[in-house]
Amino acid sequence: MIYFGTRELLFFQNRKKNWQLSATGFTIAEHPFPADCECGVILNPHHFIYNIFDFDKIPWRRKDRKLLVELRLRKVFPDSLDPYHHHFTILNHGNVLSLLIRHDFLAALEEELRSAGLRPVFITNSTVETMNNTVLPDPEPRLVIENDGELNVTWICAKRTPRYIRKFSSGHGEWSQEIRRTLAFVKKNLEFQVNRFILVTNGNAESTKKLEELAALGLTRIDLQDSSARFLPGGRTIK
Amino acid sequence: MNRINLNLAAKPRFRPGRLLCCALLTIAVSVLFTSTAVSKFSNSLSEYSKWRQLEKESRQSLQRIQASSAPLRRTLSGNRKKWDNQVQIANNLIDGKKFSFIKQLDFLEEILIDGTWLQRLTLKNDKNRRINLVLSADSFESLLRQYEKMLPFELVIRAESEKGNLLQADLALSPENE
Repeated sequence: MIYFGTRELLFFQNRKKNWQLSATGFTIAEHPFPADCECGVILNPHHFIYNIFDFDKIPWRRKDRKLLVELRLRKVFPDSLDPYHHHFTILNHGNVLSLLIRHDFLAALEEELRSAGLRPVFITNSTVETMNNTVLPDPEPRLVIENDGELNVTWICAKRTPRYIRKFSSGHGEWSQEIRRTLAFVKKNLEFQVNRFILVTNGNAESTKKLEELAALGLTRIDLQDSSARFLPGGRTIK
Repeated sequence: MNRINLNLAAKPRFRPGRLLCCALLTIAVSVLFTSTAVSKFSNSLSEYSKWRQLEKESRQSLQRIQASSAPLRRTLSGNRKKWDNQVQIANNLIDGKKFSFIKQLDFLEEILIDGTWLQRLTLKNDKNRRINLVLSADSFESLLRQYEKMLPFELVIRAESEKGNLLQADLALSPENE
Protein backbone atom coordinates (compact mmCIF):
# COMPACT_ATOMS: atom_id res chain seq x y z
CA MET A 1 0.00 0.00 0.00
CA ILE A 2 1.34 3.38 -0.93
CA TYR A 3 0.19 6.64 0.54
CA PHE A 4 0.82 9.63 -1.74
CA GLY A 5 1.14 12.55 0.58
CA THR A 6 2.06 16.17 0.03
CA ARG A 7 5.47 15.86 1.53
CA GLU A 8 6.14 12.16 1.62
CA LEU A 9 5.45 8.86 0.03
CA LEU A 10 4.68 6.16 2.57
CA PHE A 11 5.04 2.49 1.80
CA PHE A 12 3.23 -0.10 3.84
CA GLN A 13 3.53 -3.84 3.59
CA ASN A 14 0.80 -6.23 4.56
CA ARG A 15 2.22 -8.87 6.88
CA LYS A 16 -0.56 -11.18 8.02
CA LYS A 17 -3.08 -8.28 7.99
CA ASN A 18 -0.85 -6.06 10.09
CA TRP A 19 0.25 -3.06 8.14
CA GLN A 20 3.84 -2.09 8.77
CA LEU A 21 5.73 0.89 7.53
CA SER A 22 8.56 -0.46 5.44
CA ALA A 23 10.32 2.59 4.13
CA THR A 24 9.91 6.32 3.69
CA GLY A 25 11.54 9.10 1.83
CA PHE A 26 12.41 7.51 -1.50
CA THR A 27 10.79 7.19 -4.91
CA ILE A 28 8.99 4.16 -6.29
CA ALA A 29 11.76 3.53 -8.80
CA GLU A 30 14.32 3.14 -6.00
CA HIS A 31 12.33 0.55 -4.13
CA PRO A 32 13.01 -3.11 -4.97
CA PHE A 33 9.55 -4.51 -5.58
CA PRO A 34 8.98 -8.13 -6.65
CA ALA A 35 7.87 -8.57 -10.27
CA ASP A 36 4.20 -7.89 -11.02
CA CYS A 37 3.54 -6.88 -7.43
CA GLU A 38 -0.03 -5.83 -6.70
CA CYS A 39 -0.30 -2.46 -5.05
CA GLY A 40 -2.91 -0.21 -3.57
CA VAL A 41 -2.66 3.54 -3.66
CA ILE A 42 -4.17 6.06 -1.31
CA LEU A 43 -4.14 9.52 -2.81
CA ASN A 44 -4.23 12.53 -0.58
CA PRO A 45 -6.91 15.20 -1.29
CA HIS A 46 -4.64 17.32 -3.50
CA HIS A 47 -6.01 16.05 -6.83
CA PHE A 48 -9.64 15.80 -5.78
CA ILE A 49 -12.55 18.20 -5.83
CA TYR A 50 -15.15 17.40 -3.18
CA ASN A 51 -18.78 18.36 -2.84
CA ILE A 52 -21.61 17.20 -0.64
CA PHE A 53 -25.06 17.85 -2.10
CA ASP A 54 -28.32 17.84 -0.25
CA PHE A 55 -31.43 16.56 -2.10
CA ASP A 56 -35.03 16.22 -1.03
CA LYS A 57 -35.39 13.02 -2.97
CA ILE A 58 -32.87 10.94 -4.87
CA PRO A 59 -34.15 9.04 -7.93
CA TRP A 60 -34.08 5.27 -7.89
CA ARG A 61 -32.62 4.83 -11.38
CA ARG A 62 -28.86 5.28 -11.50
CA LYS A 63 -29.03 7.18 -14.80
CA ASP A 64 -31.45 9.77 -13.39
CA ARG A 65 -29.44 9.97 -10.20
CA LYS A 66 -26.25 10.72 -12.15
CA LEU A 67 -28.03 13.37 -14.18
CA LEU A 68 -29.36 15.05 -11.04
CA VAL A 69 -25.98 15.07 -9.29
CA GLU A 70 -24.22 16.40 -12.40
CA LEU A 71 -26.84 19.12 -12.73
CA ARG A 72 -26.13 20.23 -9.17
CA LEU A 73 -22.39 19.90 -9.74
CA ARG A 74 -22.51 22.23 -12.74
CA LYS A 75 -23.83 25.00 -10.50
CA VAL A 76 -20.66 24.93 -8.39
CA PHE A 77 -18.27 23.64 -11.05
CA PRO A 78 -19.02 25.28 -14.38
CA ASP A 79 -16.07 23.71 -16.28
CA SER A 80 -16.62 20.76 -18.58
CA LEU A 81 -16.74 17.42 -16.79
CA ASP A 82 -15.22 15.53 -19.72
CA PRO A 83 -11.59 15.62 -18.48
CA TYR A 84 -12.71 14.42 -15.06
CA HIS A 85 -13.67 11.14 -13.57
CA HIS A 86 -16.81 11.82 -11.55
CA HIS A 87 -17.63 9.49 -8.70
CA PHE A 88 -20.60 10.00 -6.42
CA THR A 89 -21.90 8.06 -3.45
CA ILE A 90 -25.19 8.30 -1.62
CA LEU A 91 -24.36 8.92 2.01
CA ASN A 92 -27.92 8.71 3.31
CA HIS A 93 -31.45 9.43 2.03
CA GLY A 94 -30.69 12.93 0.87
CA ASN A 95 -26.92 13.53 0.90
CA VAL A 96 -24.56 12.69 -1.91
CA LEU A 97 -20.77 12.91 -1.85
CA SER A 98 -19.30 13.87 -5.19
CA LEU A 99 -15.60 13.50 -6.12
CA LEU A 100 -13.84 14.74 -9.22
CA ILE A 101 -10.36 13.71 -10.34
CA ARG A 102 -8.70 14.21 -13.69
CA HIS A 103 -8.53 11.23 -16.05
CA ASP A 104 -5.05 12.15 -17.24
CA PHE A 105 -3.72 12.20 -13.69
CA LEU A 106 -5.05 8.70 -13.01
CA ALA A 107 -3.68 7.41 -16.31
CA ALA A 108 -0.25 8.94 -15.60
CA LEU A 109 -0.24 7.47 -12.10
CA GLU A 110 -1.07 3.98 -13.31
CA GLU A 111 1.55 4.25 -16.04
CA GLU A 112 4.17 5.33 -13.50
CA LEU A 113 3.34 2.41 -11.20
CA ARG A 114 3.39 -0.11 -14.04
CA SER A 115 6.75 1.13 -15.25
CA ALA A 116 8.04 0.47 -11.72
CA GLY A 117 6.80 -3.15 -11.97
CA LEU A 118 3.71 -2.58 -9.86
CA ARG A 119 0.17 -3.54 -10.72
CA PRO A 120 -2.30 -1.01 -9.29
CA VAL A 121 -5.45 -2.89 -8.26
CA PHE A 122 -6.80 -0.38 -5.77
CA ILE A 123 -6.69 3.39 -5.99
CA THR A 124 -8.63 5.31 -3.43
CA ASN A 125 -8.66 8.57 -1.59
CA SER A 126 -7.57 9.31 1.95
CA THR A 127 -10.61 11.50 2.67
CA VAL A 128 -13.02 8.71 1.74
CA GLU A 129 -11.10 6.26 3.89
CA THR A 130 -11.06 8.74 6.76
CA MET A 131 -14.81 9.23 6.41
CA ASN A 132 -15.33 5.47 6.54
CA ASN A 133 -13.26 5.23 9.69
CA THR A 134 -14.51 8.25 11.60
CA VAL A 135 -18.22 7.50 11.58
CA LEU A 136 -19.14 7.09 15.21
CA PRO A 137 -22.46 5.93 16.69
CA ASP A 138 -22.80 9.27 18.47
CA PRO A 139 -25.18 11.51 16.38
CA GLU A 140 -23.73 14.78 17.80
CA PRO A 141 -22.18 16.99 15.13
CA ARG A 142 -18.42 17.09 15.05
CA LEU A 143 -15.68 18.54 12.95
CA VAL A 144 -13.34 16.12 11.23
CA ILE A 145 -10.05 17.53 9.99
CA GLU A 146 -7.76 15.67 7.66
CA ASN A 147 -4.43 17.42 7.52
CA ASP A 148 -1.45 16.71 5.34
CA GLY A 149 1.04 19.55 5.54
CA GLU A 150 -0.67 22.67 4.26
CA LEU A 151 -3.46 20.73 2.65
CA ASN A 152 -6.57 20.35 4.77
CA VAL A 153 -10.01 18.83 4.30
CA THR A 154 -12.65 19.46 6.92
CA TRP A 155 -16.13 18.14 7.10
CA ILE A 156 -18.98 18.16 9.53
CA CYS A 157 -20.25 14.74 10.50
CA ALA A 158 -23.73 14.79 12.03
CA LYS A 159 -26.07 11.89 12.60
CA ARG A 160 -23.44 9.53 11.25
CA THR A 161 -23.34 11.36 7.90
CA PRO A 162 -20.88 13.91 6.48
CA ARG A 163 -22.93 17.05 5.75
CA TYR A 164 -20.55 19.75 4.60
CA ILE A 165 -17.05 19.40 3.19
CA ARG A 166 -14.36 21.98 2.49
CA LYS A 167 -10.81 21.78 1.26
CA PHE A 168 -8.33 24.54 1.97
CA SER A 169 -4.65 25.21 1.95
CA SER A 170 -3.27 26.91 5.03
CA GLY A 171 -0.20 29.08 5.14
CA HIS A 172 1.49 30.58 8.15
CA GLY A 173 -0.98 31.12 10.98
CA GLU A 174 -4.07 30.85 8.79
CA TRP A 175 -5.05 27.36 9.85
CA SER A 176 -7.10 28.22 12.93
CA GLN A 177 -8.75 31.12 11.07
CA GLU A 178 -9.92 28.73 8.35
CA ILE A 179 -11.29 26.36 10.98
CA ARG A 180 -13.09 29.27 12.65
CA ARG A 181 -14.58 30.30 9.28
CA THR A 182 -15.76 26.74 8.65
CA LEU A 183 -17.43 26.57 12.05
CA ALA A 184 -19.09 29.94 11.54
CA PHE A 185 -20.39 28.92 8.12
CA VAL A 186 -21.78 25.67 9.46
CA LYS A 187 -23.44 27.39 12.39
CA LYS A 188 -25.04 30.00 10.15
CA ASN A 189 -26.15 27.85 7.25
CA LEU A 190 -26.66 24.37 8.67
CA GLU A 191 -27.41 25.40 12.24
CA PHE A 192 -24.94 22.95 13.69
CA GLN A 193 -23.25 23.87 16.93
CA VAL A 194 -20.00 21.95 16.77
CA ASN A 195 -18.12 21.36 20.01
CA ARG A 196 -15.95 18.38 19.25
CA PHE A 197 -13.39 17.45 16.66
CA ILE A 198 -11.37 14.62 15.23
CA LEU A 199 -7.95 15.50 13.89
CA VAL A 200 -6.29 13.12 11.49
CA THR A 201 -2.83 14.24 10.45
CA ASN A 202 -0.06 12.62 8.57
CA GLY A 203 2.28 12.65 11.50
CA ASN A 204 3.90 16.00 10.99
CA ALA A 205 5.48 17.89 13.84
CA GLU A 206 2.88 20.67 13.82
CA SER A 207 0.03 18.46 15.03
CA THR A 208 0.56 19.39 18.71
CA LYS A 209 0.27 23.05 17.83
CA LYS A 210 -2.91 22.34 15.87
CA LEU A 211 -4.45 20.55 18.83
CA GLU A 212 -3.71 23.58 20.98
CA GLU A 213 -5.31 25.90 18.43
CA LEU A 214 -8.44 23.76 18.30
CA ALA A 215 -8.60 23.71 22.09
CA ALA A 216 -8.35 27.50 22.01
CA LEU A 217 -11.44 27.55 19.75
CA GLY A 218 -13.33 25.74 22.51
CA LEU A 219 -13.42 22.36 20.81
CA THR A 220 -12.98 19.06 22.61
CA ARG A 221 -11.01 16.33 21.00
CA ILE A 222 -12.51 12.90 20.26
CA ASP A 223 -9.82 10.28 20.71
CA LEU A 224 -10.19 7.53 18.15
CA GLN A 225 -9.05 4.20 19.46
CA ASP A 226 -9.55 2.47 16.14
CA SER A 227 -6.13 1.99 14.64
CA SER A 228 -7.33 0.05 11.60
CA ALA A 229 -7.81 3.12 9.42
CA ARG A 230 -6.99 1.87 5.96
CA PHE A 231 -5.23 4.97 4.74
CA LEU A 232 -3.10 4.89 7.84
CA PRO A 233 -1.72 1.39 8.06
CA GLY A 234 -0.50 0.75 11.56
CA GLY A 235 -2.62 3.55 12.94
CA ARG A 236 0.46 5.62 13.55
CA THR A 237 -0.85 8.99 12.49
CA ILE A 238 -4.00 9.43 14.54
CA LYS A 239 -2.80 11.79 17.20
CA MET B 1 -23.91 6.25 6.56
CA ASN B 2 -23.12 3.40 4.20
CA ARG B 3 -19.48 2.55 3.71
CA ILE B 4 -18.07 4.45 0.75
CA ASN B 5 -16.38 2.13 -1.74
CA LEU B 6 -14.04 4.00 -4.02
CA ASN B 7 -11.64 2.22 -6.33
CA LEU B 8 -10.36 4.26 -9.23
CA ALA B 9 -7.99 1.57 -10.56
CA ALA B 10 -8.47 0.80 -14.24
CA LYS B 11 -8.01 -2.93 -13.56
CA PRO B 12 -9.20 -3.72 -10.05
CA ARG B 13 -8.19 -6.96 -8.43
CA PHE B 14 -10.25 -9.89 -9.52
CA ARG B 15 -11.99 -11.18 -6.43
CA PRO B 16 -13.00 -14.81 -6.91
CA GLY B 17 -14.57 -14.87 -3.46
CA ARG B 18 -16.98 -12.10 -4.34
CA LEU B 19 -17.77 -13.71 -7.70
CA LEU B 20 -18.33 -17.03 -5.95
CA CYS B 21 -20.64 -15.35 -3.44
CA CYS B 22 -22.59 -13.70 -6.28
CA ALA B 23 -22.78 -17.01 -8.18
CA LEU B 24 -23.90 -18.89 -5.08
CA LEU B 25 -26.47 -16.25 -4.29
CA THR B 26 -27.76 -16.34 -7.88
CA ILE B 27 -27.90 -20.14 -7.81
CA ALA B 28 -29.64 -20.11 -4.42
CA VAL B 29 -32.21 -17.58 -5.65
CA SER B 30 -32.72 -19.55 -8.88
CA VAL B 31 -33.15 -22.81 -6.94
CA LEU B 32 -35.60 -21.09 -4.61
CA PHE B 33 -37.60 -19.68 -7.51
CA THR B 34 -37.53 -22.97 -9.42
CA SER B 35 -38.55 -25.01 -6.40
CA THR B 36 -41.35 -22.58 -5.66
CA ALA B 37 -42.49 -22.70 -9.28
CA VAL B 38 -42.29 -26.52 -9.40
CA SER B 39 -44.15 -26.81 -6.12
CA LYS B 40 -46.85 -24.42 -7.32
CA PHE B 41 -47.09 -26.25 -10.65
CA SER B 42 -47.37 -29.65 -8.98
CA ASN B 43 -50.00 -28.24 -6.64
CA SER B 44 -51.91 -26.88 -9.62
CA LEU B 45 -51.54 -30.21 -11.41
CA SER B 46 -52.87 -32.19 -8.46
CA GLU B 47 -55.67 -29.66 -8.08
CA TYR B 48 -56.48 -30.00 -11.80
CA SER B 49 -56.54 -33.80 -11.63
CA LYS B 50 -58.82 -33.56 -8.57
CA TRP B 51 -61.19 -31.31 -10.52
CA ARG B 52 -61.09 -33.70 -13.49
CA GLN B 53 -61.96 -36.61 -11.21
CA LEU B 54 -64.77 -34.61 -9.65
CA GLU B 55 -66.10 -33.64 -13.07
CA LYS B 56 -66.01 -37.27 -14.20
CA GLU B 57 -67.86 -38.39 -11.08
CA SER B 58 -70.43 -35.63 -11.54
CA ARG B 59 -71.02 -36.65 -15.16
CA GLN B 60 -71.46 -40.31 -14.19
CA SER B 61 -73.81 -39.34 -11.42
CA LEU B 62 -75.84 -37.22 -13.85
CA GLN B 63 -76.07 -40.16 -16.28
CA ARG B 64 -77.22 -42.45 -13.49
CA ILE B 65 -79.89 -39.96 -12.43
CA GLN B 66 -81.07 -39.56 -16.05
CA ALA B 67 -81.26 -43.35 -16.51
CA SER B 68 -83.20 -43.86 -13.30
CA SER B 69 -85.57 -40.97 -14.02
CA ALA B 70 -86.45 -42.04 -17.62
CA PRO B 71 -89.47 -44.29 -16.70
CA LEU B 72 -90.68 -41.58 -14.36
CA ARG B 73 -90.45 -39.00 -17.14
CA ARG B 74 -92.30 -41.33 -19.53
CA THR B 75 -95.06 -41.84 -16.95
CA LEU B 76 -95.19 -38.13 -16.38
CA SER B 77 -95.53 -37.39 -20.09
CA GLY B 78 -98.38 -40.01 -20.42
CA ASN B 79 -100.11 -38.52 -17.43
CA ARG B 80 -99.76 -35.05 -18.88
CA LYS B 81 -101.58 -36.15 -22.10
CA LYS B 82 -104.32 -37.70 -20.01
CA TRP B 83 -104.65 -34.54 -17.95
CA ASP B 84 -104.74 -32.42 -21.11
CA ASN B 85 -107.65 -34.49 -22.45
CA GLN B 86 -109.46 -34.19 -19.17
CA VAL B 87 -108.90 -30.44 -19.15
CA GLN B 88 -110.20 -30.24 -22.72
CA ILE B 89 -113.35 -32.15 -21.79
CA ALA B 90 -113.85 -29.95 -18.76
CA ASN B 91 -113.50 -26.83 -20.93
CA ASN B 92 -116.06 -28.19 -23.41
CA LEU B 93 -118.45 -28.92 -20.59
CA ILE B 94 -117.97 -25.37 -19.26
CA ASP B 95 -118.65 -23.97 -22.77
CA GLY B 96 -121.79 -26.13 -23.11
CA LYS B 97 -122.96 -25.00 -19.74
CA LYS B 98 -122.55 -21.35 -20.74
CA PHE B 99 -124.88 -21.60 -23.82
CA SER B 100 -128.40 -20.25 -23.22
CA PHE B 101 -131.40 -20.32 -25.64
CA ILE B 102 -133.17 -17.71 -23.53
CA LYS B 103 -130.29 -15.30 -24.02
CA GLN B 104 -130.41 -15.87 -27.77
CA LEU B 105 -134.15 -15.12 -27.82
CA ASP B 106 -133.63 -12.06 -25.61
CA PHE B 107 -131.04 -10.87 -28.09
CA LEU B 108 -133.52 -11.29 -30.97
CA GLU B 109 -136.23 -9.48 -29.07
CA GLU B 110 -133.80 -6.63 -28.51
CA ILE B 111 -132.64 -6.41 -32.07
CA LEU B 112 -135.87 -6.81 -34.08
CA ILE B 113 -137.60 -3.52 -34.90
CA ASP B 114 -141.25 -2.65 -35.59
CA GLY B 115 -142.38 -3.51 -39.10
CA THR B 116 -140.43 -6.79 -39.24
CA TRP B 117 -141.57 -10.34 -38.29
CA LEU B 118 -139.66 -13.43 -37.60
CA GLN B 119 -140.78 -16.22 -39.98
CA ARG B 120 -138.31 -18.93 -39.15
CA LEU B 121 -135.52 -19.33 -36.58
CA THR B 122 -132.71 -21.85 -36.14
CA LEU B 123 -130.58 -21.84 -32.95
CA LYS B 124 -127.56 -24.13 -32.66
CA ASN B 125 -125.40 -24.90 -29.64
CA ASP B 126 -122.21 -25.29 -31.63
CA LYS B 127 -118.81 -23.59 -31.73
CA ASN B 128 -119.95 -20.71 -33.97
CA ARG B 129 -123.29 -20.14 -32.28
CA ARG B 130 -124.74 -18.48 -35.33
CA ILE B 131 -128.41 -17.65 -35.54
CA ASN B 132 -130.16 -18.37 -38.84
CA LEU B 133 -133.41 -16.61 -39.37
CA VAL B 134 -135.96 -15.64 -42.06
CA LEU B 135 -137.51 -12.17 -41.66
CA SER B 136 -140.55 -10.55 -43.25
CA ALA B 137 -140.76 -6.75 -43.61
CA ASP B 138 -143.67 -4.57 -44.62
CA SER B 139 -141.51 -2.14 -46.55
CA PHE B 140 -138.07 -1.85 -48.01
CA GLU B 141 -137.26 0.98 -45.58
CA SER B 142 -138.08 -1.28 -42.60
CA LEU B 143 -135.85 -3.97 -44.00
CA LEU B 144 -132.98 -1.50 -44.50
CA ARG B 145 -133.29 -0.18 -40.93
CA GLN B 146 -133.26 -3.81 -39.69
CA TYR B 147 -130.09 -4.49 -41.70
CA GLU B 148 -128.43 -1.38 -40.19
CA LYS B 149 -129.21 -2.59 -36.66
CA MET B 150 -127.87 -6.08 -37.40
CA LEU B 151 -124.68 -4.94 -39.13
CA PRO B 152 -122.48 -5.00 -35.93
CA PHE B 153 -123.35 -8.72 -35.49
CA GLU B 154 -121.63 -10.08 -38.61
CA LEU B 155 -124.79 -9.95 -40.67
CA VAL B 156 -124.84 -12.26 -43.69
CA ILE B 157 -127.75 -11.81 -46.18
CA ARG B 158 -128.16 -15.18 -47.79
CA ALA B 159 -131.31 -14.52 -49.87
CA GLU B 160 -134.02 -11.90 -50.44
CA SER B 161 -137.46 -12.45 -51.98
CA GLU B 162 -140.90 -10.86 -52.29
CA LYS B 163 -144.07 -12.63 -51.18
CA GLY B 164 -147.32 -10.70 -51.75
CA ASN B 165 -146.90 -7.28 -50.15
CA LEU B 166 -144.14 -8.48 -47.84
CA LEU B 167 -140.40 -8.64 -48.38
CA GLN B 168 -138.56 -11.75 -47.08
CA ALA B 169 -134.86 -12.09 -46.18
CA ASP B 170 -132.86 -15.15 -45.19
CA LEU B 171 -130.18 -13.94 -42.73
CA ALA B 172 -127.40 -15.20 -40.47
CA LEU B 173 -126.13 -13.45 -37.30
CA SER B 174 -123.48 -13.90 -34.67
CA PRO B 175 -124.44 -12.44 -31.31
CA GLU B 176 -121.82 -10.72 -29.22
CA ASN B 177 -119.42 -12.87 -27.18
CA GLU B 178 -120.41 -13.01 -23.60
